[in-house]
This record gives sequence, C-alpha cells and structure tokens, in this order.
Amino acid sequence: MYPSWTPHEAAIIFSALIPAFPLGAAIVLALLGAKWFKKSSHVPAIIGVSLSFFIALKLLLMFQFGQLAAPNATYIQSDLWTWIGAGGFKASVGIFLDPLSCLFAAFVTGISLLIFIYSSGYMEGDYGYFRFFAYMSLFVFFMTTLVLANNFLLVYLGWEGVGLASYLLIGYYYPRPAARDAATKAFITNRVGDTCFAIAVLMIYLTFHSLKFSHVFYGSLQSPAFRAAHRTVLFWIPLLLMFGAFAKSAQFPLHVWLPDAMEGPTPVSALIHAATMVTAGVYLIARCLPLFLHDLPVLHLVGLIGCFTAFMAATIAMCQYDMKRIWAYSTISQLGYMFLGLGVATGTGAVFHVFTHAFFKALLFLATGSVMHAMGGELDIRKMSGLRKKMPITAICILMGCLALSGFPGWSGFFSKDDILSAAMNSTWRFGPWLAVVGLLTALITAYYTFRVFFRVFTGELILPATAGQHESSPFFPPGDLPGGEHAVNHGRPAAGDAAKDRHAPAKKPRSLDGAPAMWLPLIVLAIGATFAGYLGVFGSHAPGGWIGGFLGRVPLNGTIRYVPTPPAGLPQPVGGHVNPILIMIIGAALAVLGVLIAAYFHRINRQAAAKVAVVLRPLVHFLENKWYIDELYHYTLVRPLRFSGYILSLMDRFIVDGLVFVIGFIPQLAGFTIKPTESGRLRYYGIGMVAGVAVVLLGVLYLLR
Amino acid sequence: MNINLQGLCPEIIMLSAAALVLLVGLCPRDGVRRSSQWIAAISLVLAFIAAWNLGPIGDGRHWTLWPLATYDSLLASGIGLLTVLASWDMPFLDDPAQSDKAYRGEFFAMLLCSLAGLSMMAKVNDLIWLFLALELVSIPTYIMVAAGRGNAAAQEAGVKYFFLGALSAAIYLFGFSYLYGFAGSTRFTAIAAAFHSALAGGHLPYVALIGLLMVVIGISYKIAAVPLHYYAPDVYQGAATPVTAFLSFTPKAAGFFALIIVFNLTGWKLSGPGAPGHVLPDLLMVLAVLTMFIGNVLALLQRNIKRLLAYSSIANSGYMLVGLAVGPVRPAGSAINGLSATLFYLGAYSLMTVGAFAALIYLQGKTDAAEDLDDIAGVAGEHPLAAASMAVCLFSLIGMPGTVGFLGKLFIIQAALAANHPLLAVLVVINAAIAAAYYLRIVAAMYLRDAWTPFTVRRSLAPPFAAALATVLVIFFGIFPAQLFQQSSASGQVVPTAVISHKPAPVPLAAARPPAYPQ
Repeated sequence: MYPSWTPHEAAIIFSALIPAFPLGAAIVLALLGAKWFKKSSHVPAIIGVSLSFFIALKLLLMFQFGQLAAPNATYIQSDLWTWIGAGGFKASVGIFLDPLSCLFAAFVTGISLLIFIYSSGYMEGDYGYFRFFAYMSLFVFFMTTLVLANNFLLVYLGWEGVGLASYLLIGYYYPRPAARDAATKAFITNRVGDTCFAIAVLMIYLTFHSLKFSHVFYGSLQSPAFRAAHRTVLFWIPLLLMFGAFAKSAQFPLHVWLPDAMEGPTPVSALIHAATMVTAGVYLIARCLPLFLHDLPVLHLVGLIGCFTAFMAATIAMCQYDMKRIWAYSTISQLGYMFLGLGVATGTGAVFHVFTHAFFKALLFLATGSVMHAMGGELDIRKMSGLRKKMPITAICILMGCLALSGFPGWSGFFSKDDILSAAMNSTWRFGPWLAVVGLLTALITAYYTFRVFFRVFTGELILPATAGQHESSPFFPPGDLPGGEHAVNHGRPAAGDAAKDRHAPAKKPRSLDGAPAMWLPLIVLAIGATFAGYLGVFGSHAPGGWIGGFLGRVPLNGTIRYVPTPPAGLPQPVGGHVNPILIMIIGAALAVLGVLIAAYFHRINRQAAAKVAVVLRPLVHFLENKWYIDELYHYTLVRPLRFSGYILSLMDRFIVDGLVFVIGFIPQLAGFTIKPTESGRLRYYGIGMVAGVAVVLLGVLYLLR
Repeated sequence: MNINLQGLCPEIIMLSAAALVLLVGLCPRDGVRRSSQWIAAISLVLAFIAAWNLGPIGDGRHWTLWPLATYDSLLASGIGLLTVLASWDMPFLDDPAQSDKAYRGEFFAMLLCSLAGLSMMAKVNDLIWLFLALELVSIPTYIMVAAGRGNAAAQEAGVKYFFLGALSAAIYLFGFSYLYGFAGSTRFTAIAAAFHSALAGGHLPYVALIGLLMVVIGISYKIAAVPLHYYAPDVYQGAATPVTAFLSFTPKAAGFFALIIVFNLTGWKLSGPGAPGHVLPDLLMVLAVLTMFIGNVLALLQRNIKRLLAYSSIANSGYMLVGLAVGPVRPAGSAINGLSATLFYLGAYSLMTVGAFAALIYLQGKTDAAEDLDDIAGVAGEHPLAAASMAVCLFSLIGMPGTVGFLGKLFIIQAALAANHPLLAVLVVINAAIAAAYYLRIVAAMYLRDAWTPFTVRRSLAPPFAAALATVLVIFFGIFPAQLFQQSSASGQVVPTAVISHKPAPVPLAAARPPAYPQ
C-alpha cells in the first residue's frame, strides 16, 4: 500500500479494482481468447474474479474491525473521475462503500468465483469456451459496478450492463431457437423495468439536482419541508424504482423471463439466480430504502407483490417436471420473500436472505448442472430416480441445498426466512401479519416442492434416462458434422454410465458420475455455506440479527435499512401486537418438517399416491403446470396486438417513409451528376474555373456593396 | 532589439532536422540513408515537446497570439509525426530495385520544411512573413506530389498542383498588396491599427475589402474550398497515398491558420449589425455552405477511395468555414465560439483523416494500387485491426458519438446556434447526414462484402502503427476531450486588442488562460 494513502483512500482505490479485474479478464479474453487461451480461457477469468473477491473480503474485514469507521461518517464515497460533464450536469464514476455494498461485493465475487471454477469443468471442450468466460467476466464486472457505484447513473450503467450480459449468456447456444427466444424475452422484459428505472433516474436528477447517493439520501430528503414540497415526485420515484427492481428481480408481473433463462448453460443460471442479476433489484430497493420509507404505500406495494409472487411461484414449482425450471420458480418465490422483507422495512432480513439464498441456490443449480452433465442433458424428474447411488457427492450436496431452501430448522434458509416473517408479523403495517401468514403457507409449499425433487431424483430405485452418460448434442454442430473429436457440447469427460453400456460400450467406466473435481469441489464449499451461513444471522454479534445485523448496523444507515419499530409521526400507527419471534420460528420449523414429510410420503414411500392425487385435482394441476397461464395472457393481450400494429407500421414504413427517403437520397445523386462535368481533369479548365470563381465572387460582392 | 529564439524552437528543430535528413539522404551507404525517417520522426517528437513547453515570447510589443501559436506548433509536430509514420516507406517507385536509393532524403526534408512552415504560421507578425510561411508550406508539397511516386499520374498531379498553386498564390499575394496599400505597412500591428480606426469610423475602404476578399479566395485553394477546390480530387488521386494524407492535413491547417490570422487583423469587427464589412462574413457563410454541399454531393458518386476522401476533405473544410464565419463572438453562457470550434474541428479532422489514410496505406500493399472500393472489399476478415481502425476513423468523420468527430461537429453546430445562425446549423446537420452515406459505403465494403483478390499488405510496421495511434486518439479525445478542448478554445479566445491599440502592455497570460472544460 502506498504510504501516503489514508485507509479511506486505499479502500476507495482498491474497491475500484473490484470491477476492474473482471473487466480486464473480459477484455483479454475477447481479444486474445480465440487464438491464445482457447482451452485455458478459464484461467484469466478465475484470476480476475478471485483477485476481486480477495479485495472485497479485505474491505469487508476493514469494515468489520472498524478500520474505516470515521466518527460521523456512515459511509465513505469518492469520485474517481468525471464521466460526463455537460453544462451544469455532471456524472462521475465513483465508489460508494458501506457495509451493504461491501457485503454484496463480497458475496457476488465469492459465489461467482465458485461458479467460474465449476464452469471450467462443466464447460470443458465447449465450442466458444473463451466466449463463455468473457461474457461471465463481463457479467461480474457490471454487477460489481452496480453494487459499488456512488450515483444513480453509474448504477444504471451496471443495470443495463447486467441485462446485456444476461442476454448474451442466455442466448449463448444461439443456434437453438429456444435459446434465442429466451434471450430476447429476458432482454425485452427487462427493458420494461429499465425504462422505469431510467425515468426514475431522470426524476431524481430533476428533484435533487444530483445523482449521488450521498446527496440524495442524506441531503434535502431529510428536511420535512422539502418532502412536503415534492410529495408527488417522491411518490413516483419509488414506484418507478420498484418496477425497475421487479423486472430485474423477476417479480410478478415481470417474472416471465426467468424460467426461460435456463436455456443458457447451467452455470449461467447459477450466476443469474444466485450472485448477479436478480439480486440487483433487491440491492436497489435496499439501497433506496430511505426514499421508500418516506412513501410507505409504495413500500407496502413492494411487500404485497413480493408476497404474492412468493406464493404464486411456489405453487407453480409444485407442478413442474424440469429440475432447472423448478429451481427457477423457487428463485422467483424466494425473491418474493426478499421483497416481502423489504416491504416491511427489514432491510437486514432481506439482505440476509439474499446472502443465504446465494449459497443454496448456487449450490442447487450447480448440482443440477452435474446431474444434467451426467444424464446427457436430461432434467425431467419423471425419467430418473435413485441417483444417490451413482452421484453420492452431488446427492449429499443437493440434500444440504434442499434443506436450506426448504427452511429446515438448523439450515441457513431457516434463519433468514424466519427473520423476514417475524418482522412481517410484528410490522406496524396492518397487513403485515397477513403477509406473514401467506409467507408461512408458502414455506410449507416450498418444503414440499423442494423435497419432491430430492426424493424423486435421488432416492428410490435406480432409474437412469436413456441419454445418461452421453454427450449432449452440440447446438453449434449438427450430429455427424462435428469438426474433430472434442467439440461435442459440454463435456470433456469420456462417456460413461450404465445406460450407455449398450450404445457405445465405453472402455473406461468411472465409479461415480459426480464429474471432475473442478465440479464437485465448489459444490462442497457451497454446501458448507448453505448449511452454516444462517448462523451468521444468529451469532457473532450482540446486536439483533447476529453478525449480519450487527455488520449492516455497524455503520448505521440511520434507521434506513433496519427494521423501523415505529413509523414517522403522522403516519398510521401500528395495529399489530407483538408476536414472539421464537413462536414464529417454531411454527416455521414445524411447517418445513411437515412439508418434507408430505413430500417423503408422496415421492419416496408411495409414489403412486401422488399420481392419484393429481388425477383428483386435475384442473388445479393444469392451472399450475401452465404457470397460471401468465405467458398466454401476455401472448393475447400484448404480443398479438403489438405484432399486428407492428405489421401496420412496417407497411407504412415501407411505402411511405422509404419512398420519401429514396426521393431525398436521389436528389443529391442527381445533383452530383449535373455538377460532375465541371470536374473534367484538364488543367486549363481548372485554371479558367478558378479565375471565373474569383471573378464571380468579386463581382458578386461588389454588386452587393454598390 | 531583443532577439528571442525560444519561441521558434519547434521550427528550428524541424529545419535543422530537414538539413540533416538532406545530408543523410546523400550518403552512399544504404543503411545510413535508411535513418532519414527516424531522424524526421525523432525531430518531430522533440518539436512537439518544445511546442508543449512554449511560453510567451518577448515583451508583448510584438504580435503575439500565444495559445494559437502553441496549438499550431502542437498540431504541426503531432499530426506531422503521424504523417511521417504513414509515409515511412516513401517514396514509392515503380522499379523495386531503385526504391531504396532515390529521393528518400529529399522527400523527408521537404516534408519537414513544409511542417516547419505550418508550425511558423501562427507566429508571423508581418504580411511578408505570412506569405513566406504559406509558400514554405506549399512549395515542398509540389515536389512531394511529383516525386512521391514514379508514375505518370503522380507527375501530372504534381504539375497541376504546382500551376494551380502558383495561381492561387498570385491571388492572395494580390490581396496582400491591397492590404499593404490600405495600411501603408506590412506590419500586422499597423494593419490592425488601420482596420481599427477605419471600422471605428464606420467605413471600410474598398481597397481593404478587396484585399481581404482576394486573400480569402486565394487561401481557399490551400484549404480546398469553393471556389478553388477543383484540383483536390485529381491531385489527391494522383499522388502517392502517404502524400495524399499529408496534403489533406498540412496545407489545409496552414490555410485555416492564415485565414484566422488575417481576420484577426480586422479585430473580428466585420460582422454585427451595421458593421461596414459584414459582407465578408456573409460571403464566408455562403462559401462554407457551397463547399459542404459540393464536397459531400460529389463524394457520393465516387468509387475511388482517394477521390472520395478528397471530396470528404473539401466537405470538412466547409464545416470549418462555418465556425470561421461565425467568428469568436461568444454569447454569454456559451463555452464555445466559432473560432475555437473550428480549431477543435481542425485537430479532430487531422487525426481522423490521417488515421483513415494510414489504414488505407497499410491495406494498399506494396503496389500502392488498391484504390477502388472493390479492392478493399471484405478486408475486415483478413485484417480486422486495420479495418477496425479505418472504420473508427470513418465513423468519426461521420460524427458518431464517442469519437472526436462527433464533438467537433457538435461544437460547430453549437457555435452556429449560439451566434444565432440556425440555418447554418441545420445545413451542417443535413450535410453530415449526406456524408454518412459515402463513409458507410467504405465500411460496408470492408465488412459486408466478400474479398475479390487476396490482399498483400505493406510489411512495414509504421503505417499501421500510425493508424492505430490515430484511432486510439480519436476515441480518447472523443471521451476525454478536455485537453484538446482547452488548447483549441484558448486559441479561439485571442483578440489582442492591446496590441492593436499600440500600447506596450503585454498580453496578460491570465487573459490567455484556457477556459475550463465545461464540467
């Protein structure tokens, strides 16, 4: 460290390196990947993100041990350089460091690092290996930019960039129509939210005359007179920010893109669901809670929609058969919990849930990737069973993930979900307890659908799909058109497995299907995290909320992010009573265990019973299998009318606008042909032309001056 | 008399290097002769450093336009260095056995002389000096056109360029003589004083007006503007491509600096309500519009890249003339005036056009033959970096945001609007739209079409290096324009009234301090 830097300056400069390393890796890979790195393309990406992770960890520790605490500063922030300067408007590139951004930066880079390591095994031999890692690094760059930015415009840059990177990665297998459609769908759905966010940014600038967090949150917003004068605007800004966050974090009604996003390679899903993309919305609202706290109706809307989304997505997840799709809906559902937490103003709880969710959801997706890898791309839970015997490590890891997701007592999801629900139950808002009740019901459903997958796929008698052990067919090269042996889609490991015996008769037969160490080592790390991360929210500090609560409260955001026990004067006072959090903890634990038991009965002990129940409840099952018919609703209310108007507009464009443009474009050409003969190439004509020009100008001027 | 040569440091370096190169070029050993380019390049780097450290000369009693002179020298040495890199293998001769022996020393000596003339342009304080500086720029270029390449086309271009150049020199020399007749002296201080008193009296004699007119028309040859633009396509096409690159920068920059200096003599008091000489700025506007339209419209018809870029060079002169016609009048609240916009655009234009030519030199190969759009079709596949730098320079010429060309056009338009000439601004925008068509045609040929013939690119590293450097600068200044903006806007502020009023007050440095880049 340079001796003349204060810890603050050092922290700012080093934190600027957090996005810089992944960006550098992305640039290096984009320029040199195809020719130099090729099969070692993961090396720069992993180096970049691990350097970022260590810096983020160091910053976290600096905050933890108070090395950055100034007497009256709740955050440190600094501009690095002026990005746009035009007249009175100035936007800069700068860093905002507080426990919230540090925590996000640390887990984003940490989880990304594990996913990168996993990908180096999972994507081995894939066509476009360098492209994959370049995009992934770009993704991490934009996400860390978003998290560390000190003004709304830079957040918007990261926001758009995350959307771009997700588009590129979801459409990674671009020869597949489904992948292209999914990428487009994700992008367009996100555009809706981005537009809202952009308008919110503009309104913030017009209202506060600055885009800096320090100015917006800690400046004139604190004065009641200012708030009274800008009442309307202060209603619209949070509302628009909310829609922005809902698109990125896949909340109803903008959640439709996330389940389709599984068309990308599985590590991409893990990255989107756990570390980057979807947590951006939660971060945004957590960061902007000061704005929301001054307009409680919007905040309550956030909670309501979050609660509804949690319930809806959980019910849909009960009746899906594709493992990745189930996890996708579970992500939507869990994000709903986070927004429910934000809605009852427990920023700590929401961020805590983001934190634990990152571990167990990354774990579940990566483990599912291992299953997909071993089963030749098959993910239908009806076609496989008893995999525990073939993939012991994966099975144990996924069990940890399932326990955490279902909120089984003792695992991480239990503590964070409980934080949110007890905050809702004790909320000052009249409907808070009702949301908590729905949340508890959702917890039961969650436990059921989670263990439905586990018991179906990993227990019972061994059934492998026909494709097990094969290479997934490459989307880049049709079968029989493989240029050289190594280009089958995603697996360097030789084909293996029982079912493959009768088709290819592989020479070597590994004992387990867990895959390369690069794949199962990250799983184990994540499983440990998924199991124990929850205790960070219980122990480690005397403050309520354990280490997380203490840490997020350490540099206090002045009641902005923590639970607000009493609303500001002049707002409705609490009606709900005080419910003991221990009671909610017990109810939650009981419901989780009940859900697991139901799943065990229907999917482990008596699998026929599940089919019988499904027949009885046929209309409901249809409704859920078709995801509440929301895609169809969009199709008939938005897509079809838009397509029709697009057709009309394209006709107008072709016949009216193009015609005009053609005529206008033709005039200069015609003019050119008429002037051209004067440029003939003869010296004496040029001389005459020049003298004539002089004469014309002189005579003209003298005529005008006569 | 206080003789202070410090201010002429860049020119002294260039001219000494020119003499050295001339000597080295006569050496019988080939290896020694090959050092000509190196000497030229190093001398330009030194001149750039000297220009960077240039301070005010003398005691203020002399004609001093400090920021302008600094900017001029910086451009001459900086962009000059790019042109030297671009013409590293010059001269091109048809006989390969001969190519390394002949004329190299002469070529680079001429090049350095011409750049020295350009660098001196903004430091002159006398009409005679101005004429000498203009000719110091021009005469070497006649030789470079003819000697740059050993074929008949180059000879023809050289002869044309020489004769027409002489004609134009006659025209502006005629104008100078009228100005001398008007003021009774060739000293700038005396001429400025004469203009000052005449304009203060509300009356401008015909002799002064005609003098200015002839100067404007004569110098329009140097900047390839209407009405003396005819030669440009033929000469640009006939000359070897590195010489074309040089022609598109050096005489044009010299012409604009000369025009600024001459108009500075009038104190920029010609325009405005009731001003007696307002016909002159009006004429400049008319010429600007004609130049833009003729350049862009005729460029649409070209398939030869060098001819196309020649017309583009004409059109770009039109944009800069807009800024010149608007002049340095800066309404309150505007950070931009026409002069600083013109100077900014001049720097931007030099970068992007030399960059485009340098990329073209690389792609043309040893034979210097590829000139048609078909010849570079599909080149992006085999030479992605060269194609990319060409594309960036062309996008900058179009005026895409993120490149320096965008800011150049933006400032010109802002200046026109700020000076209350909305029609001019609209015409610039229309022309920018027309221009996009032919620039994009080159880009489309490189990226969207299939190659017709295999490419044999030039082996030398210098032209691609020049192209890459120019490309990087085009993007860099497009994103961080502060440095270029400060240099050019400082130069655009200078109206040394203190000198005009004959008072021995020094030009205060504070007045010449560049305004901050708008934050």
